[in-house]
Amino acid sequence: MNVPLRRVVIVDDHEIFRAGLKAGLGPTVQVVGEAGTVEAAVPLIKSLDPDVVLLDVHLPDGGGHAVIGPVHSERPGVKFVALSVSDAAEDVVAVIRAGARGYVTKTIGPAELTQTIHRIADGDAVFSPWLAGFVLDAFNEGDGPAAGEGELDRLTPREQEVLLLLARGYTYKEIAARLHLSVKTIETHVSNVLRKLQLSNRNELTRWAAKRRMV
Amino acid sequence: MDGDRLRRSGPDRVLAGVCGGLGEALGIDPVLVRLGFALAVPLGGIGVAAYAMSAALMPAPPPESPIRPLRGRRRQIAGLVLLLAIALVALAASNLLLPLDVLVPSALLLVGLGLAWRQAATASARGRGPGWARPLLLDALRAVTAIVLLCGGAVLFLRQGGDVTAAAASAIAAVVVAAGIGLLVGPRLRRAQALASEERRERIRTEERARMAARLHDSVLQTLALIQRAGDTRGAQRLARRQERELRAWLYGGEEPDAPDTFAAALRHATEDVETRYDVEVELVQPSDAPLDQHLEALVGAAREALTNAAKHAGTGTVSVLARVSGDEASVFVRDRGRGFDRARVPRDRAGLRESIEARMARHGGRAEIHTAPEEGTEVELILPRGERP
Repeated sequence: MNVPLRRVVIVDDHEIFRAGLKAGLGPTVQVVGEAGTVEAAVPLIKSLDPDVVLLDVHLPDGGGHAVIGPVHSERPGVKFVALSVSDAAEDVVAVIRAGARGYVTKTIGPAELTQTIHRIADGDAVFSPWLAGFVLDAFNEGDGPAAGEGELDRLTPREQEVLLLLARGYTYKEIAARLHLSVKTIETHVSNVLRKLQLSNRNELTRWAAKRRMV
Repeated sequence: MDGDRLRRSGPDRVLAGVCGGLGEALGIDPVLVRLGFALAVPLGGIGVAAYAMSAALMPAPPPESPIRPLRGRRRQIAGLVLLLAIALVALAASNLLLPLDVLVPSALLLVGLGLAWRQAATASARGRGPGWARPLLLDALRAVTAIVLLCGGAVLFLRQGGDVTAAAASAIAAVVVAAGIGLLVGPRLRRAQALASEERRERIRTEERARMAARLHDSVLQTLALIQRAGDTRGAQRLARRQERELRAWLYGGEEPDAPDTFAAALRHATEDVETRYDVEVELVQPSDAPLDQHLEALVGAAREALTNAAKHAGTGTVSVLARVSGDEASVFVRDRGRGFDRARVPRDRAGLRESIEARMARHGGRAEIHTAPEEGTEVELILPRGERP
């Protein structure tokens, strides 16, 4: 196996959950540090410079997005994945717009989480079916000729197709096979959607997010 | 004088505790105060009026102080009242101070005051407990009687007009009526106060619930997530998932378990049912929601059938469901990675696919598409156009 070892920091205020996460990760992932607060996480991540940070959406001293900003300016190579149990969509969207490369629910299986960490470390975006479904509907809402939006505010038909299949529970490989595209192309599409999600000014995103919970 | 110190006395009372309270506040022996009031009684009844007014205006004794019970002292009080009446009659008969035509209205007023007082006393007692809502009719009847008696007495007083005593009597009557009205209105104010504090308690309860939601989120949901990750047995996993969903629905939806009234809630119920029945895990994704109508209900019914098929025949532990609904269209995708099947080999009489899914969707103007092949899993697409319906 030539899978590189990934160095990971877990930021979550529940110790028992951190322990559970750690126990389930495979030999290709090394947990180098843990933190339970924003205050502790920022200097820790800066000094350890890990590949990936698993970041709880809610922390006792602020949202997960408060960790991303200060780290990004100094360590732009560190990638973040948002992790949550059941959070208001607007909080999840806030973490992603702050720069997280993806979102998974805490009920994700250990093997899947390991896979997610590798994918994020490789620079890809990871959407849970929930996030895919949410983004799809949030971008579609209020579409019409009157909506004078830029390229960032609209999803291409191909991107919508990919998101729809993600929301239906397809893996990248299955999506690639179904659309007769390469996995790499699928990854590019998802990364583009993530970029739009982070940069779009669409009001619907916030409005939608305020009303919904991601499970 | 310190306003807080002037209140009716609890332990040192004969009737209402007015004299005891006054004595305490002024630093005089209450017996002297009582003597003062007694001497004022023959002076055109001023003593009685002043006493009634004081009783109405002075705040009740502090709740922690022991209250000397009226019970068991009935004779003493009856004797006191009798003595008062005899004194008044004697004085009136001998035409010393009070003529009879003053005494009769006075008596009316006194009875009215008594009624009003009883009402005030019971109302304030009930205002403290939760069971204070007594039959309103009785309350109203008593209030009306009290008012009639008070007004009757006052009118009799006023009708005398002319002589010197009448002017004084009118003044007394006015005071007595004012005291009576105070007694009548007071308890109602107190009750309004009780209502307000009830509302405050309700608000506190709501806040408490919000706090509890935050707490449960931090503890129970986290633990349930952990159980699911560890997953030693499928049973524990299923239990955890179900528990989590129920709790989530209660915490954030506030919905009744038996009465789903939105599309998402109805589908979640169907999903939970299938999960429990067939020992399967359903990944349910439903970013949008709409009020349930008969067409969406049919869609949920078809989705449940598709889920049941997947749970029974696919042979995998997991099924993915995506449900979307907008003004134009509602759709449900039910997908498994199981063994799949060959449609041509499904017996013609199998009702599930044909009747419960395809025909049901068609009846409501929708359609069902089934993508499957042996060993490649199955996906059922249910599409329901909603364009013509607002």
